[in-house]
Amino acid sequence: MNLKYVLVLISLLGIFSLYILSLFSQLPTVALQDLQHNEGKKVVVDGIVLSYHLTSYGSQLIEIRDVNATESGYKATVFSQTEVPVEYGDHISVIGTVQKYNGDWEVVTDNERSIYIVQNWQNISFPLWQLAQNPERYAGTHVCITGVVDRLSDASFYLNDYEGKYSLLALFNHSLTSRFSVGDTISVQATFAYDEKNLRYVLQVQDEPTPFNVLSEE
Amino acid sequence: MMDLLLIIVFSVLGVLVGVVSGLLPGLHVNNIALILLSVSGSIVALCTPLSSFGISEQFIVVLICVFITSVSISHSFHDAIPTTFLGAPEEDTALSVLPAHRLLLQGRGYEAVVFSAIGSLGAIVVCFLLLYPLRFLVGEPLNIYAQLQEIMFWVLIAISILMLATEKGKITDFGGTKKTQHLIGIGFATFVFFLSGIFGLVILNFPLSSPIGLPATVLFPSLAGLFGMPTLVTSLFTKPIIPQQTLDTPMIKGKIQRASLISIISGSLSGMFVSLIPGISSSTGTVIAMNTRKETDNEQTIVTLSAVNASSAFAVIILLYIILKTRSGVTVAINELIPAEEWTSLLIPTNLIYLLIAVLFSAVISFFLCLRIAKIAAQHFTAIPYGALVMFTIGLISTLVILFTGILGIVILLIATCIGLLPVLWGVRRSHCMGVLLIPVILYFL
Repeated sequence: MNLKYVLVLISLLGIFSLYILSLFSQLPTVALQDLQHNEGKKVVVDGIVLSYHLTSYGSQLIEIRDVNATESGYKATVFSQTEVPVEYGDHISVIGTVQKYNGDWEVVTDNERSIYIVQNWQNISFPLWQLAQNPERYAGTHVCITGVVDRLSDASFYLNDYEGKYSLLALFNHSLTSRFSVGDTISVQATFAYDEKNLRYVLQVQDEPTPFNVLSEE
Repeated sequence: MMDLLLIIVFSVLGVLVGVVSGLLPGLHVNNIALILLSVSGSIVALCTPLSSFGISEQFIVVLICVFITSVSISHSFHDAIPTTFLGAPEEDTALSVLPAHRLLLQGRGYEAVVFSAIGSLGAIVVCFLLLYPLRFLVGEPLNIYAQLQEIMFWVLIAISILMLATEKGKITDFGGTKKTQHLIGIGFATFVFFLSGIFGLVILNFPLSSPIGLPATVLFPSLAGLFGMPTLVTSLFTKPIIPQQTLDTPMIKGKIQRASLISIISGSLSGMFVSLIPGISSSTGTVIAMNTRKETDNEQTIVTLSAVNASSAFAVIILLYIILKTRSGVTVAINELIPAEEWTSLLIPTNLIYLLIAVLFSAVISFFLCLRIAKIAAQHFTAIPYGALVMFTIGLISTLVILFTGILGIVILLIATCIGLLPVLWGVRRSHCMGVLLIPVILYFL
């Protein structure tokens, strides 16, 4: 057979083989503490967004922590050449190359499509007991909590679980008070933070976006 | 004064490395930039004695960027020499002969390199003259780039159609009239374009990793396979009869002078344009320039192609500072070493000034060096053990692919080489293989 036709066939078969190969050779998913063993390799990492900022050159640095780690656990920085719309507390999955930069481990992405938001922080809802048992795991991140409103005042209220076993103070702007009343079941989107002055964890509710969703009224 | 002296020293070193890389057939300047980037840490370490002369480590990194820039400029001049003197097909059997090879087969190989060097240097001068217009056109206040981005999908579609519709190759295998053969040629070009595109989509997120921890990019084996290896492989199997070469410098006067000037200007503008658009190469720029001015003679095609290449090598550096986008391996390397500072005012950023000095200085030295080396090549190239040189280059590229991307990289290189051989064997333009980048980029903007 003429070489010209053979090459057409080989090219088609080659691309098909590469496609099959790509299905079986998925990138390894690596925990943040194992990044050091994967320098120069392309990997997938999962993490919760702790902070993010744009550099003066238009690129974005996103600090993530392991999905299952504690606050004192492993962290890494994700480098993206362009801005990706992530928010604090989002669960993201990143495809990138592991590099060491200024002594810290960095996952450098090829393009913005290499960062995938697995779950937006507003959609990650926790029961109060989960926060109570692992407060350090969620401290400093956005959370979405469902509970019953109790002891409502101008700038705060308590969020109780259905059994009344756990209770958490939520601090907010007084202009939001008219939206619900004591006994309503609501979901709250807020930052779960440690209040050093009073030695306790609190929910710090921001004005925007709509932080409360009334699920049922008393 | 010491700063300027060091910039000149590093430019000269860059030019010398560019001579070597440019003379090795099939080695792309982007690969050289990635290699230099991966060893930049060692270069900084080597240069630390300079700190005793009051040179900061920050400036040493700038000097490495000056070096990389000079390598790229020198490479773009000198790769015309192996392109002209090596890999010429047997004219009777070849379906597509490069313009430089046509002149070589007429005994005018040296002339081909002279036209190429004139095109390259001319483009650098034109780019310098257009530095500020480019700044105001692409950046503030006119913001052409921002407007282009909004219609990028259609721009890329239009470029793809232009590339395919202007294919002139005729495929005679299936008989038919000349018109039918031409249409089959366009059809096959479209097949190559889409085949390369599907190949690009399949390998886009392929898990490559370097066995020695180097940055692994899938573009290296794929582009080396699509564009570098096919020339090398075909030249291994061809034994053209090359006539005695003349060493006459072409007289560029009157009509030729005017035509060359137009080629340089159209090539430079085209090179700047392709540098703005993601996913297209300087060969696409040449097609655009040649179709704009309707000139098809060999000499002017060479001048235009070289002008597009040099202008593109220059423009990507300027655009890095205007739109903060990396459009080549060289700018990726520079941006990794010294993150670009946006050029927003009249004053040119300091680091860009250093790079511009390097570009101008390297271009002038490379012009004269290139002519000198071309003269030697024209006199002695029949004595070069061409088969051994080609085998050495194939071995070098394969070794680099393994070092950078591992065994999977070699698989990609092999398949890319098969795809890259299709246009060569069927007689259509090789630039259709740019579908490997164009189709994924088009889908991205969809």
